[in-house]
Amino acid sequence: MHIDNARELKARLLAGVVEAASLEAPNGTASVGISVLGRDAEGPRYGLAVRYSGSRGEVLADSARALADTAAGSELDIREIGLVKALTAPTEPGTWAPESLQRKVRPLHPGLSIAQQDVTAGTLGAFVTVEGSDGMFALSNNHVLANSDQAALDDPVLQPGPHDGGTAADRVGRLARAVALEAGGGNTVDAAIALLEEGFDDVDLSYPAGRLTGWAEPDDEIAVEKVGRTTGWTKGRISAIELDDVAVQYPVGVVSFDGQIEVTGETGAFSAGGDSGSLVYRPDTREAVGLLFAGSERGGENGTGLTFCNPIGLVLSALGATLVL
Amino acid sequence: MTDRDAARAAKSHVQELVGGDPRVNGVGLTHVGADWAVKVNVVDDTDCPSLPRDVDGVQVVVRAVGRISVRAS
Repeated sequence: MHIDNARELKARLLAGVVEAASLEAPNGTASVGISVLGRDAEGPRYGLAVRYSGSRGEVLADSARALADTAAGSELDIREIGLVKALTAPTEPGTWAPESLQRKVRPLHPGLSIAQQDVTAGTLGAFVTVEGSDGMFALSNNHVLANSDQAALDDPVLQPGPHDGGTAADRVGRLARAVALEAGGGNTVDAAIALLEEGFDDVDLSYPAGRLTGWAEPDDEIAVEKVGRTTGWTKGRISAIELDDVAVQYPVGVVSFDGQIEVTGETGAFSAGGDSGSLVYRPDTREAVGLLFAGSERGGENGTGLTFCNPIGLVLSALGATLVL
Repeated sequence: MTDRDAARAAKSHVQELVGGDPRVNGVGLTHVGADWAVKVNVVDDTDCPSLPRDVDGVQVVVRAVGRISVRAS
């Protein structure tokens, strides 16, 4: 039909809806739009798109069905669309939002703020057991749980970390084991574990993708994700593997690592300060691949920086640990 | 097509070229399309070691990433 005819029919249909609305308190949707059906020698051919739901929409639908029985019927597209809701963001932050991860949370779960008492804050990456030892252990970095080799065994570990308000009253465990950082280089992992104290070892093992199924060797180009204290749940892909001579700045100086994994964020930075200790895993198989520990100033998507991780197999081997699945 | 073993061998040669250079902060393996390649991360691409575009037939990718630091808050 011609555009003028489409406009006239649209006005007639909507007039009926307005009239009905003045008589009762209707609900639902009654919407009419003009659509382009195609083009012929005289120009575009127009039709009407009728979308309705609820009692308000029924008035429109009745009028439109009557119209459909006329010569204009082939130019009408009538559809019931159900309830229409505004797509507003949830008002409460979810489990994996940074605001939630920086709070005191019990039971403990991956992604939460955690740190040794003299460290600002890092992330609780995963839960592990250790052969020959009883109990459940929290896995994170040496520089999170052992203050870059400056902490003593049995030092308190807090959730949340001190930077997020954690105090001695928030003690959930004690430093149990850390892989020493060698100033001369040749490091492969920045890892430590804290033994969870009684009452805190009944943990939630869930990640955004669900519970882990195991761990895998990293491979280039695979999709990964993590949940961390500062940036929450982020997605990315492995953009390099087997990186040697990665020079990382610590509060105590520069430490060099070999055999590392590089991750590029999907839409921005994959991590930021405070995400150290996050477990990086494959969402498709729910296998752990790395322990996040460092990031660069630039590079990656939009120049927001790259993230570096220790291969999780090396982490577990160095600590004599097994992931709790 | 360049496979991973060829890229590993080329990576060793690249490390011999840039070993100990403080302007380099990582040498690893990456992909360029379907091919494996050597990736060299440098602090600043306006001040980095001169590298060939390929080594032993394997492409060498140089990217500036700035300094790398731990991700504690």
